[in-house]
Amino acid sequence: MTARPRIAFFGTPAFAVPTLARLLARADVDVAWVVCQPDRPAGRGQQLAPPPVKVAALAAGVPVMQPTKLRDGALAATLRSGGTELGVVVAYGRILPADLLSAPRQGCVNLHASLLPRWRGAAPIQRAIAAGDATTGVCLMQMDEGLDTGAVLARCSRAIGPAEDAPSLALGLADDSAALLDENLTALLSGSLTPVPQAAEGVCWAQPLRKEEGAIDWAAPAAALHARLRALVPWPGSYFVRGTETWKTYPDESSWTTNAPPGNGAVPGTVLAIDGERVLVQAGEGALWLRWLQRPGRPRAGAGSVLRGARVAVGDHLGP
Amino acid sequence: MAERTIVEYPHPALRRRCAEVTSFDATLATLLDDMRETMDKANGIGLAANQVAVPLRAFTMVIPGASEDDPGEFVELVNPVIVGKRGEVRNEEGCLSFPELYEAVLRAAEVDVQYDDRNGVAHRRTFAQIAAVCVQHEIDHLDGVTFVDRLSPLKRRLALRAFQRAQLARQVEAAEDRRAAVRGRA
Repeated sequence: MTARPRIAFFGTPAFAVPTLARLLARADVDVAWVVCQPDRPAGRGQQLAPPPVKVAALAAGVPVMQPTKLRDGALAATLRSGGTELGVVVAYGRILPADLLSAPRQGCVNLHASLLPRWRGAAPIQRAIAAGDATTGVCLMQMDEGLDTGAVLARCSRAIGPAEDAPSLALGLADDSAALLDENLTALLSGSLTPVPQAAEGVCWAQPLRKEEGAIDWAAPAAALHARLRALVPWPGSYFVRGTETWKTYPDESSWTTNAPPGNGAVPGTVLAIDGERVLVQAGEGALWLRWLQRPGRPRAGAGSVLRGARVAVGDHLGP
Repeated sequence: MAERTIVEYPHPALRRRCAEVTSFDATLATLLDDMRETMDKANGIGLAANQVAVPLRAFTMVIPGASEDDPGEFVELVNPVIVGKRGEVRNEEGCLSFPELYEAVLRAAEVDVQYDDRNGVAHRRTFAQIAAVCVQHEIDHLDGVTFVDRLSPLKRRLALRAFQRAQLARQVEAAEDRRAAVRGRA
């Protein structure tokens, strides 16, 4: 009798789907289990929506498990008795307990979207953009009990473009994850990959995003403001309070400029110029062009149009 | 120790009910050693004697270890008989006589087996998980049954059709390689 190595795939959001698809396409492994988070209410009407990984797995005829509790040992027992060779974890959304990590014969590996030890934690993609990193990437890591502390088996890098936002970077990194695993899986299963422990210096943490982080601080340098705008798409987005209203803004897909008129001494948050739909706003250092604004209860529109409608002129202050 | 040729579907040896082993001699020992080498080289976890065209009731098996550092256990079972079975599992199986074909088969989850070792000493052992599945798969071989026989008629037809197409492609490629090798020498 022969048996293909059995893989348990843990993943939930769309980010994990390309990796699952590549595994399913391979003839030399058997994706015997797919584990994802339970269906959550989503969208208008808050209907229960199945996670993208579940949809992909069911379409391929692979049974899906959505345990609510991981610590009761049931899943670990299932994987052990089923002779699982390897666990592949991509954006599952939960911490795996130690008995689950050791249930497959070769343990579990994780595809993490950063160049470890930089940006360990829940939001590596957004934090890399917000911090102004020029490159990020994906690490294939042998999971241990710590949070993103395991030895790295393989890595690849990707440049962060000057106009790149979190969703577009995530799309690129999702494909990179799929390719990284696909290229290294045979070596991994045969034990010929050498794990490299992570460096002790350079550890930084990618805290999960919070709603309050969307508040714009005009006193920050223009480059940092632009980076935050791009990083916080689609949630929590970027906003500023104007009187009783909370206005939202969205990053422009084209380039921006930091040129501010020398010695204008404007307070950060002041409108410096309006050029068609683009509006130049004074930042702490330099100035930022805004392209899209959204007033409460209205669809988003060109910044120039919104300001004209709100009777905001050059010289007025936008913020609180 | 020598490697033997594994016969592929639809070789008639796979349909033979194999004969009990009555003489535990050097020929049997050589057969079992060869079967172990053949199975290892082909990366299998079980191999029945009729898969190397010897219609005797004997098979070799590897029980995988629980972790990466565990090399697994090698066992040989002669004249195996299932004396107890419990539970049900459905697991994907492949077979060295059906290269690259994998299908899910329903089997017992745990089996008790009475068997002889290569010296004729009787043993009784319980197997679970993948080892239990493998034991059932190999004992089927000794009765002339292959794992595709355990599929539903529709699945069986689809699996065999796909398998035969792939098999034909492989045979054509092998023939072309041989022809090219001859041409290369000339």
